[in-house]
Amino acid sequence: MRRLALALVLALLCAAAVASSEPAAVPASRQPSGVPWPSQAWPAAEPGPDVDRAALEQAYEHAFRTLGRAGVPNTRALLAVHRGRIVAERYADGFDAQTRFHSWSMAKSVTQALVGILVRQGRLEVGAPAPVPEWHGADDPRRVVTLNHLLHMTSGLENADGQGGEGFGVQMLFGDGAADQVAFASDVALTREPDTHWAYSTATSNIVAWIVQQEVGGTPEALLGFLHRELLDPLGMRRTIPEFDAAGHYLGGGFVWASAHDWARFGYLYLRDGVWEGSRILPEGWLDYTTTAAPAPNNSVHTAHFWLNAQARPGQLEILPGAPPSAFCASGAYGQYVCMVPTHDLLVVRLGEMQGIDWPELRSPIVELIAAFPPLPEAP
Amino acid sequence: MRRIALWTAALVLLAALVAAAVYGPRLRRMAGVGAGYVAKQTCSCMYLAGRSFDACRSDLPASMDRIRAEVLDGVEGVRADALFLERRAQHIPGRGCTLQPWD
Repeated sequence: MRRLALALVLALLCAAAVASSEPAAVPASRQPSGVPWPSQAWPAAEPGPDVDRAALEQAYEHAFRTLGRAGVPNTRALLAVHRGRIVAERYADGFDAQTRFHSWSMAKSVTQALVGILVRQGRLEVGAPAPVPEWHGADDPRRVVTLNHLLHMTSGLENADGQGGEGFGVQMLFGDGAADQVAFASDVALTREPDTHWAYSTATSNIVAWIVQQEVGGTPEALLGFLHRELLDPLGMRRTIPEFDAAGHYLGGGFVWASAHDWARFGYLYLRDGVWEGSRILPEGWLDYTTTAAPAPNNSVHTAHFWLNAQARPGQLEILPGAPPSAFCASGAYGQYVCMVPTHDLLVVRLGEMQGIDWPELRSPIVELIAAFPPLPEAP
Repeated sequence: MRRIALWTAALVLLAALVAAAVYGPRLRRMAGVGAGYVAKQTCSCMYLAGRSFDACRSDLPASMDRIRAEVLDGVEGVRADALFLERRAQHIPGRGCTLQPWD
């Protein structure tokens, strides 16, 4: 059981990280003219002549080479979107474009998008105190915690995934806190000043998800209505389902299921600076916010529920070492990746498991795949 | 000889009680986490990803193989138990699988 607990805590923590190089916020690439948006279906094409096809094929071979316990490849879906079109796509046997895949912590990035939409609508401010009533007593030190601190995971709240002997995160998701995860997540002390320490916390993301849900009506139906109306339907994400705890709270810290094409649509929104078919979904400046590291001395890779491809601080993991510094990712346990590479107008989705392999084995084919694509020409 | 045996038995019993008091609650919490994990993940894998029970179980860490699980009768869901702790996850269309509250 102790090994189980360690494995679960590690899996949650391993959702935390990304690669080497200096963080660099770069302008989002624009939709190529003549290429339809993927709201109905993803346009597909052969890789362009400037793509290294041999390297691309080798990356795919490497990605599907390692096998899980039942002989199924650890990588179950791998696709690349280049200049607005799917140019490479493969599934393991038993999986296809209709299969929904578990987000794990990529759900945090979906929750971040919902916050962004509410900011655009003027209904939330990231700099305002987090609207958690229990934190707003006159003498309650938690009243200084803002939504921004929560998104950055620098709140100072004592609810990090690895907290406690059995791991706060797994206890919340599957143990004593599972029935009402928001109550479990928020009923904790403030043990540090905000912005002085970064700590990966799925509980914090569930609090953010709760704030979103409260703002849009409070019920699961209200959350689902908002999610579909403002995000899933405009993007054409028809194979996406969020999950809830028994108290009806959206589990925005780790439980969204979606097809590989839908995950690609989600990433594509960020690759296109939050604009979709001419309509702004995420507010102006949200991409900069998404690609700016959270301000804590022990963090260089985590932003506002996304990950930078930057040199990691001690205790943080690196996911894509060697990939371009413009890359930023949504990332989840067991190697779920939606990575945007604006300097290459490239998006990579990797979904699956990581049984019997380590992080270098898992991530190196993704880095190889990215390396097969050329950067965009330098702006004059 | 009989007194030695009695004292030995008493000491063993005492040690067992101390161990149960120290490690029991933690063991139960971890058993609950394991059963909850198996029930929830197997349920979501079956009803959201559309995969078979056996395929979903094979995706779970080997450390969870000892946790028994089965598909619920009459409703879409999965039950799992470890150390006599049972956890159930139930599927609601459009809302995924939810771990049901327990006493």
